[in-house]
Amino acid sequence: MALLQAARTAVAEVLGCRGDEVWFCSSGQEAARLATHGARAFPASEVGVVAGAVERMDILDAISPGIELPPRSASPWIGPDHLVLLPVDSVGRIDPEDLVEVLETRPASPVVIQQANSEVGTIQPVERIAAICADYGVPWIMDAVGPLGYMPVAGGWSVLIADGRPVGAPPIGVLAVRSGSAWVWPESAPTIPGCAPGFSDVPSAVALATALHAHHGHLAATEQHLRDLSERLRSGVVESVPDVAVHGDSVTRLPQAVTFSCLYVDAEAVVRALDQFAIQVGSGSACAARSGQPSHVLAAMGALTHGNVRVSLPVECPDAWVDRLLDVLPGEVAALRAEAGVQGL
Amino acid sequence: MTSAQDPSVVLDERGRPCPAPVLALARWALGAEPGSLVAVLTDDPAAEADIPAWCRMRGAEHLEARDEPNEPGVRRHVVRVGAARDGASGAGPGVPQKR
Repeated sequence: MALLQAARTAVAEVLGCRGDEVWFCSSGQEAARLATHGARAFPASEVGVVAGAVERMDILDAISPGIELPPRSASPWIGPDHLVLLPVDSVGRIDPEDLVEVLETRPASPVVIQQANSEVGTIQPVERIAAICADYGVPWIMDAVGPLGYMPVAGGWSVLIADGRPVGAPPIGVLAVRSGSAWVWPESAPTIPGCAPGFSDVPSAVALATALHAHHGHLAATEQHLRDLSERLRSGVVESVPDVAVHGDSVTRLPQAVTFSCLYVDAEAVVRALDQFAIQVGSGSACAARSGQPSHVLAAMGALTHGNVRVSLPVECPDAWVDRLLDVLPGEVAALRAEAGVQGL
Repeated sequence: MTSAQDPSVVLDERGRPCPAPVLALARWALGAEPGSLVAVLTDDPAAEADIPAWCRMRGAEHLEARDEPNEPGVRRHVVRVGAARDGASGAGPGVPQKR
């Protein structure tokens, strides 16, 4: 079907691959499942998978369902379902030498490492990762959800996971597999070129491709605008709120993600307080999560998890939104701290 | 691996969610002699990351975290408080800036 093939081509242009390497599926979760299971299903692959400790939970869960992550560690962690987790430093970055160390003992393991972390923004050492995976002849499965629509997608991957949410498109999934990769369809083969098995929502695929293509047209301007805005937010928070930790690499990061933790503050209370000013933010704190667990990303970094505010600036974020947040935040945090009686702590 | 002395002071924060355990630790630390030891009992999943983070932010030492025997889900953290705060803290990414 011509529309579907045009959609594949448009998405391929953004991802840096060929149209016939692009597949649409029902969700980002499904893309993660297909990516990881397909690498494992490839005959010559090790049964194990090496992944960064700060991969999105959807991805870690696809590799090892119901996984309970360990406390922060400085060394690779060997978990259930033959998953090996690479530790991260205090800004959430994996050390390529840890990857080499693991691959030395498990040389045919598929590697799952994101281009950048969507929560804290830190960009992983993608060039080194690509080179190491090429050296060992293993597929690099790269989660592109963070950068898609905000900055150029990195190259050198074998399999790529994305979805439509970041660009305001239907939340269907995108799976890209470069030909010749150590990957196979884990269950049945597709019957419609471009549609993963079980997926046939061509209108959503076309909508996603259209949105991505539109964003791609002004990617450089978007990236610059959001970098400036998020920089203003990062430094503004540090300057105006005492005892706050702004997370992630301050330079080598996504343009849109800013997250910070306020010492001694209840996250639910600060999110609620900001909401009263029509400022919607997320949180990685345990009390704000349905699971009652803090963000595994912050925990893996050894970062403060309570009092966490998580911001992801939309592509067309007005400057005024950041101004309002910086205006309101210091007073609200101070009020909450006064209420809790934390002076001098 | 050396095991920490068993502190005589134990803050029982079981059943109290974040940020209560860290607040309790901070309140106790305020009146404590530098070098004092304290144990915090907590079942708050955030405490695993937050007690070490607080130690880093306040110049204390996180000596140990272990499962409390016969108490599923409860962890015992042992902390040695540092010198009195003088308002100067190391700057760097992710480290809080105090005014």
